[in-house]
Amino acid sequence: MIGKTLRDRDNASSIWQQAAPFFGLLLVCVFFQIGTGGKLLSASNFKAFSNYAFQMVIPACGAVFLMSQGQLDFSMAGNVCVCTIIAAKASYLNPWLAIPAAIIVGLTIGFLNGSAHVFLGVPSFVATIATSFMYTGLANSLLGGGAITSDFALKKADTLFVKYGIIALALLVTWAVLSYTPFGKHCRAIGAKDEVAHQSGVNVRLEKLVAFLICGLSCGIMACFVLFRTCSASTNSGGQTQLNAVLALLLGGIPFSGGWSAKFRCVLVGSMLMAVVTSGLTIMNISANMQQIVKGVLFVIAVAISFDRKNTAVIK
Amino acid sequence: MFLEGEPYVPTDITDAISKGVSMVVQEQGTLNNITVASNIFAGKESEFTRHGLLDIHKMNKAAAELLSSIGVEGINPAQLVNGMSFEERKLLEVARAEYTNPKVLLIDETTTALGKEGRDVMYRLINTMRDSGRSVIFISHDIEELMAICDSITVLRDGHLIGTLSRDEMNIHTMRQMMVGREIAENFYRTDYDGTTDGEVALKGEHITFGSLHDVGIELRKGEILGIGGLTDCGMHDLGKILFGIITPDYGSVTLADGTKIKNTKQAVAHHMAYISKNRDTEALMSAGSITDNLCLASLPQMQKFGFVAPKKEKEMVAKWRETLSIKMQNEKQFIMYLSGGNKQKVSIAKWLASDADIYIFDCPTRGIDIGVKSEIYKLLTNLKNEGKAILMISEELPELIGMSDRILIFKDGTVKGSFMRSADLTEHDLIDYMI
Repeated sequence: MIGKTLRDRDNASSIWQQAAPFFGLLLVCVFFQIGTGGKLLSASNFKAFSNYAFQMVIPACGAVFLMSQGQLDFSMAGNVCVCTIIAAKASYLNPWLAIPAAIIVGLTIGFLNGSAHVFLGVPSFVATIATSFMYTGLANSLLGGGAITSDFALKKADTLFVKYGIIALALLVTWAVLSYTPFGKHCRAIGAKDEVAHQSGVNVRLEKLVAFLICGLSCGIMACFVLFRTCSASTNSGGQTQLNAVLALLLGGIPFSGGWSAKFRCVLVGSMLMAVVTSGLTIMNISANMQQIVKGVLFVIAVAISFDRKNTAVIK
Repeated sequence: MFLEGEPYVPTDITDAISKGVSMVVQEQGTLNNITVASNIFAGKESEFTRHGLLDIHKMNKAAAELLSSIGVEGINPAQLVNGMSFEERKLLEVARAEYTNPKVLLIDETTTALGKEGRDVMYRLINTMRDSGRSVIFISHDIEELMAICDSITVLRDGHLIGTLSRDEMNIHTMRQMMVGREIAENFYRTDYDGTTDGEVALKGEHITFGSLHDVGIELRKGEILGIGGLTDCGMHDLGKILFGIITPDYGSVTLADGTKIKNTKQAVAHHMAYISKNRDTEALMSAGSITDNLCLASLPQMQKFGFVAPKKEKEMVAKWRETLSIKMQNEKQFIMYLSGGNKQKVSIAKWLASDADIYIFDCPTRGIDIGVKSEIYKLLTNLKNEGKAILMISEELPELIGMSDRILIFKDGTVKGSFMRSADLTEHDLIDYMI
């Protein structure tokens, strides 16, 4: 009897958990479509929307592997910032050198974060908060205050084709890797119970490191995007990358503890939700500061819904 | 429910305890990061306060007295529970239950987690309680144990009451029948007594030193079931983990037939080794994962094609082992946590059968599962042996070791104290002498 009720509740909640994000997305779309007087989903907003979508999708795709392992990277903004600055400097040698420079720096910083967690055994949450100070400091000393510009030739890459192309590619790769490769499955197994993964022949340390590298890679790509759009680098270049990523994934339905509920649809729905909210608020002329307040409220609600209170040691 | 003629409807555990009903649970029930004494007297600190401050001395002293009164020695009440073994922690829970001086004590599957000494403590306590006119409800899968200590036995099956036996009605045969609901053949274990193997050495451990293990050498042959027995803390569980590369030993090496040295689990799995932990819910299975996720986890590298694993293949894999091992499930997406112990164990065995392993290390393969599934697992072990697989079976149950093994090694304090070949005349007494 007890077994049966437990099962019923489990099934019911899992169906609800699956459907809730999609309904949420639909609801938010309808709300802002009305609120913006039909401007949100219109051809004129297609261009601006690409920027919001890029900012949400790329970090979410990068962070989902970490988050499915039950880990967090809180230094993404710092990472993006350092990448942007170094890439901007590199662009004066050759404009397109900025791209490999940003990617290599992003991967290096991802490796540093991963090493602090894997080799020194510091919990990822704490480790990346600590390293984010390093990156902010590094960014400030590289800039020497103020902002720098990059070669303006990079502006040529700021096209809808490039942005939507990279978004589509990132989503496609994330979908394939997370859902269908041994690595993607291992990430979720590590989140579900790392000792089980270890005893099933998974090199847990290596795969954690790889997840940090992927996250670093997404920061490098974000840095390219910032340069294409603004052709400049400042201490604010990283924006709120990690908050956007974590919030998108939480809203999509991935709990902090990671595990098998980390599915691709969470990435898709969560990042689109964030993009629609940001775009909608902007069209409605809500100031950036007010937008932060809205995001903060969303964050608390998302955590309240997803946080597994029985499992206190959630972030590894 | 009625307690001593009065209606008994406990609202929660505290209420039950105050009415005189206490329980020792199957799972871990102690809190980390606090001392032994604080664990025993959790919730009862007010009895030890003076002027609003906790008198730790008094509490430690009471804890020491309580522990020695139930016959537990060698636990310092002031130490933290973190480093203590599962067995020692269980004994704390027993002490905690005893302290409330219950009229009825419920003991749920606790002894499966205990070694010989722990069980003795438990049995003594049960006898004391009975002799002083109090009652004990003892829940267990272990028929021999039930028959040895209980005055009457009630058998439940699939949530139905099958019957109650008094002391003179008890015998193994009827009880097995009642528990399974059909005749279990007398050949519960292996029926042959041929323990000779001429298979080549599949796995070799040399000079293994770690924790209590000291310079242990071990050879496992193909087509052989090698039983490892001993008390819980004799080092045999660590040995299993070392052979599979989970633990790196301080000294010594593990070598396969082809000369490969096993250094980590990834290598072990790649060389067709399998390991099933004693701790099913924390080390062998992801309870918040589906049956598919769990069953395919060790086989993913083999199932992939161009780097991708087809969901169809996973589904076929689950369907195949569901059929072969008759695993009871709603569907392949069901969470592991909703399966019974026996079906969980079947999934964790299927995980390795699916990976097509040749060397199996089973740590307590029948721990906490009912007798029906137990006999299926014994049959499976025999089949694996006949297929020429090498099987290492670490077990705390002597009848199982004697019934299934070709060779038995008995460990004590981290070294091999006795070695026995398969024989119809081998008794538990022969082995126990070497264990203690």
